[in-house]
Parts: sequence; structure tokens; C-alpha cells
Amino acid sequence: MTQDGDGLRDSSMEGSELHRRLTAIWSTPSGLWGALSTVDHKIIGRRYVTTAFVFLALGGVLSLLIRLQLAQPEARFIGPDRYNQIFTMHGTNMMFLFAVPVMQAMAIYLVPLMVGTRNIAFPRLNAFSYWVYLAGGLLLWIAFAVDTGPDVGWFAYVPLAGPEYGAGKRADIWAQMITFTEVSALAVAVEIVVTVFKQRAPGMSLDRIPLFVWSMLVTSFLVIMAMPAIMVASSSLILDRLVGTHFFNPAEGGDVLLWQHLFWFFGHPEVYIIFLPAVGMVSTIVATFTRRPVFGYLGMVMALIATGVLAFGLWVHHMFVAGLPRLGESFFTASSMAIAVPAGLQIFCWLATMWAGRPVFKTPFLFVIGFMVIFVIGGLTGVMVASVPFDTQVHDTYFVVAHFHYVLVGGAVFPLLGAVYYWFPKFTGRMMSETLGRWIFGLIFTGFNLTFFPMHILGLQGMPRRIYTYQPEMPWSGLNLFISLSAVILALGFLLFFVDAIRSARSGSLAPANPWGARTLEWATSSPPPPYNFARLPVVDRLDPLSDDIEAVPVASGLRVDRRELLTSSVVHASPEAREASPGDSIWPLWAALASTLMLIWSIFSPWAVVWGSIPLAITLIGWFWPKGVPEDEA
Amino acid sequence: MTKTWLRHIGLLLPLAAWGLSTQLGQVTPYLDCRQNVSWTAIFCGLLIVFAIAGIVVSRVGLQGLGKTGRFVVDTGFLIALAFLFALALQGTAAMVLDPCQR
Repeated sequence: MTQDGDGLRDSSMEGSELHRRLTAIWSTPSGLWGALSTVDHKIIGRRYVTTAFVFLALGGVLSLLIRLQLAQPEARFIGPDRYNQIFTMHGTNMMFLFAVPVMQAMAIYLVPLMVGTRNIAFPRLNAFSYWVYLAGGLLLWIAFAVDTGPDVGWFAYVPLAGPEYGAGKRADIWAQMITFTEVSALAVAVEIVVTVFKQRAPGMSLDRIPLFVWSMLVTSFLVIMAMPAIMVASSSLILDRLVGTHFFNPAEGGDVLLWQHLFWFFGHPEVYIIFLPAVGMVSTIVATFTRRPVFGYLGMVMALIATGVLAFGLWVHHMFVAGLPRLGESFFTASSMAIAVPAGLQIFCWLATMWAGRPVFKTPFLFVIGFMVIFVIGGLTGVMVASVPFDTQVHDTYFVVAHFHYVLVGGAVFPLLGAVYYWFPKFTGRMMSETLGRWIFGLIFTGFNLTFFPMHILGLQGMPRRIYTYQPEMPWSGLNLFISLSAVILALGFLLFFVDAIRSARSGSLAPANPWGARTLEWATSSPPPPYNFARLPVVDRLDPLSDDIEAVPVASGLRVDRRELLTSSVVHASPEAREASPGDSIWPLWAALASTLMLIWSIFSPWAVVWGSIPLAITLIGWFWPKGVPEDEA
Repeated sequence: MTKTWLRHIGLLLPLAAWGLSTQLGQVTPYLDCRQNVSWTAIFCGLLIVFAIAGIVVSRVGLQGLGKTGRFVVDTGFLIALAFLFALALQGTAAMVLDPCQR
């Protein structure tokens, strides 16, 4: 044990003594106050994942209502007004409350563990981001429950969403929910960038970063660059609706196409914000279950970054029928075609890894194989709709609905489900059922394809999206009934998944520290990890640090054990630079989130809310940053 | 210092050229149609030359680079190739499409 003028260090401390001291410093107090004030990335990550899956279940129920309505022509189960709210809620919920948050949530939990640090950067901001996200989700769903749910589609085109046609507060709810979720996403993105750049374990140079961490780093940059566009758009929409500005009103010099440009400048990268984390998950699972590192690490990193940048040059392919010059549109076709190169490279790298490895077909790997099949189909139809003449024909039809479900569910949800099976032992210390997992994969894979593949045909037959019913003379009723019946199979698969997850979390078999024989750092600690993650920070000397015995991983020492402390390192080589305090638990992020919620909801009704609402927000921020005289306040 | 800067220009220049080309592609078709001069193709051609120059420059002076440094430069090189491909597709479109068509 070392005690110097700079605090108590861990250098010569024994295992049990070290564990006792670190637990005392890093653990979250029990009880409600502890739960509300925790800044432990693992607790917040679990909370985020759970909340996102609750939203997935709610969005799934909405999709079943849609399918029930469309199962037969001229159905009267749901009226047109409620139907408009339901499809808007389904899309909005799935994109903003499930897909993006759940990917970031996985990163909140896993990235600090995978880079070998003790907590995420800016942990209080992390707590704040969760509360703001939860408030945004509650706002949307409570509004829907009281018949004020948005009814303008998940991309809320003007003038439909503008003051001329969007009466009431429905579009405002949508626009302000965007602010909540994007503030939350931006906060998490900043935390992840800083964690990856500055808190990596000593020796984890850029060429030794796990691919999931690379994917989250690129995703975070996408969030930082794309989300401001939609926040500007939604705030401008609220201003048009509440204050009487004319950003989107052509009669007063505004421009409706400005909305489409702003929305899709965010909206297309959004697809990759959802897909790139899945690439990281797939790479991790493929490496583990083929018992070899992913083939072409350099190519995979290149593909992640190239995809991330190219994602910003595709947005106009959502606007091919908006009347822009064909030549200008063709530039976006070019980039849309070009992005198939890094995407294809990734697929071939995974196939080569499987070819050269010894695949073990456990449930997580089955979901990865399902992902490859479905995503390749979605990618092929993506190349089809990237072509202006074809897109002009199928725009706003069920072909597009089929395409984006293949890309998003195939490209993100399948890898995510695989990732849940893969990392469940890390999150909970318990295994999910392998038998049930295989059934769940079979039901979801079959149900998904039977549900969504026929939608391509419906689209080619001319069925538009977002219609609440159709006439019996149209040639769509047979396929619609088939799709609705198939959706029951898909729903049954998800129901079983939730049953398995809840059952396993309570009474699943206990997991060993590294149940899959994986080689990334999160498995170098117990499952679930202790509050401090690693008793001594690992030192990385290769791409797959656990390829030998876990006990043989070299460690660093010298950190203080009388305050929350972690190591900061250089960006390129991850050479240790400084010992840095990590903030302790605090209730102020919750108060700040409540003050933000008050201001944002109030501002739907009065522009003065921004003025008066900023006072409680300022008070909470002062409380947040006011020095408390604790060791963590020291430099 | 200069060498380090040159190595990374291979990553930066093709990306910047592609971004600029994408933006110009929204502006120059109107000029092309009005003046009957293919400014879009001309700009695209120039940007392709810039991108190739950037890639070539980034490949000089790689000796003495460590493993991590080499990784960074090689990643940049591969990314640059992807963007050069996108630029080439844009250039092809500029040559075959009628700028007045809407």
C-alpha cells in the first residue's frame, strides 16, 4: 500500500483489500436516492437498454394494430385519424426512442469495459442524457394516450406539419420530442468520443481498438454532425407554428424543400447511426464464434469510416420526386451506389472470417447469419431505389416500406438480438436459454421474411404506404391478409424473446466470467462486472488481448483508491498521460433533466417558456457544477 | 511535421473533393443548362485530379512510420479510394445526363 501526499495508491495493495476499497469508492448507494443519483455507466446502460426495449414492445404493438387494420379491405377497426397517429407513432418511436438509443445504450455499457476503463467520460452527463431521453419518450406516449399523438408521419413534412394544415399540438409534440431525444443522443455521443479517444487502456493504440468500439466512435461522430440539422429543423418548425416565423412558408419567402433537405441531411445518416453499431456487434460475434480475429481489420475500419462519411452525401435520394435537376440527383445516386463498396467489403470480410474459422452455431451467431441474409436483400433493393427512374415508380409505396424494414430490422435488430444473447451474461451474470434462443431466431427470421418480403410485391402492384384502408377491387387484399398473419409469427418470436430475457435475468443459469471464450477486454473482468470494472487497469499489447490466459493480461497500477480515479491516455498510441478524477454520484443531473423537461414542454405552448424556464435550468446547472469539497473535485 | 501533414492529405483531399463535388452538383446543372457548357463535368474532372494528387502525395515518405502510424495512413488511403470511386461515378453522370432534365 502506498500513501503519499497525493492520496492512497493501489500499488502494493492485496486483492481483497483493493476490492474492499474500490467497492467503497465506486459502488452506488442502495435505495431510491442512490438509484436516482447513480452515475455508474453499467447501471445507466442497463436502464437505457431496458427502456428502449419497452419502447420496442410498444412500437411492436402499434405495428400489429396496423396489420390488423390492413388485413382486409375497407376495415373499420381503426379510423383514419387514429391510424395516422399510429403509423406516425410507430415510426417515430422505433427510430427515435428505440433504434438510436438502444445502440447508444449498448455502447454506454460496453465501451468503457471494452477499452479497459472504470467509467464513461462525463458520467453525470450520461445520467442527464438518460433522464432527458425518458422524459421525451413519456411525452410522446402520454400525448398519444390522450389523443394528441403526432399524425404527420415520422418525417413530419411541411406544409402538412406546419401551421397551415397541422392544427392542435400534435406536430409540436413530435418536434419537441425530437429535441429531447437528440439532446440525449448528442450527450452520449460526446461521452463515447471522449471515452474512446482519451480513456483507452495503456497500449490500446488505434490499430488495437475492438471493432465494436470503432463502430461506436464513427457512429458518435455521425450523431454529432447529423443531429443538429434535425434539431434546427424541429425548432424552426415550432417557431413557424408558435411564433409565426416563415421558415417553411413559401408565401412569405420560406421554402418547404428546406425542411426536406434539413430532415434528410439528418435522416439518411440516421440509418447508418443505427446500422454501424450493428456492424461492430456482428464483427465481435463473428470473431468469437469462429474462434479467430475478423479477417481484414484494416478494411473493416476503412469501411466503417468511409460509410460514415458517405452517409452525408446520400440524403437527396429521399427527394428524387421533389423536382430537383436530374443531374444533381444523379450525384446522390453515385454516392448511394458507392456506399455499396464499403458495405460489400464488410460482408466479404465476415464471410472470409467464417470461411477460415471454425464456426460454432450458437444463438448469437444464428442472428448474425440471419442479419447477413436479410441485410444483403435490403442492400440490393437499396441499390434499386438509388436509381432515379426506379425510385420514381416505387416512391411512397410498400416497396419502400419493405426495403427499409429489411435494412433496419435486418441490419440492426437482428445483430442487436444476437448481441443481447451474446452480452446478456456480461449484463446480468446469467445465461439466456440456448433452446429458446434457437426457437426465437427461427420464429423471428421466418416471421420477418414472410411479413416483409411480400411488401415488395405489394409496392410493385402500386399499394401506397400510409393508407388506412383500400377498396376490395384493388389486387392487394390476399397479400395483405398473408402479411398480417405472418406478422403474428414475428410477434410471437419477439414475445418469446421478452419472456426468455425476463426469465433468464431472474433465474437463468449462472454465467462464468467469459462464457463464449471471447477475446475482448470486457470479458477480462467478472460477469457482471464490479462497480469499478477492473481492480487494476489492463495493459493491451495486441488486438485480441484475451487470446491467451485471462490471468496473463498485464495490468497497470498506481491509481488512487481514496477517490474515483481513472487513467487518461494519448489518442493515437494510448500512452498513459494522467490520472484523472471521475465524478461521483449526483442528483443534479436528474434535477437538470426535470428543469429541461419543464422548459421544453412549456415552450410548446408559449415562447416565453424559453426565458422563464431557463431560470430553474440555470439553478440546477449551478448546483451540478458547484464544488462539493470531495476528492473528485481535485485536479 | 510537413511529412506528417502530407501523409494525411490522402485522407482529407478526396473526402473534401467529394463533398465539394456533391454540393456543386446541386448548383452547376442550372448553369450548364443556361450556358450550354458542362461546368458540372469540368468541376468534377478537376476534383478527381485533386483527389488523385492527394492520394499520391500521401503515399510518399512512409518509411520509418511505426505500425500504428502506418495503420492510420493505410486506412486513409483505402477510404480515399472509396471516395475517388464515388467521384468517378459522379463525373460519369455529369457526362451522360442532360443538365436541363428535371
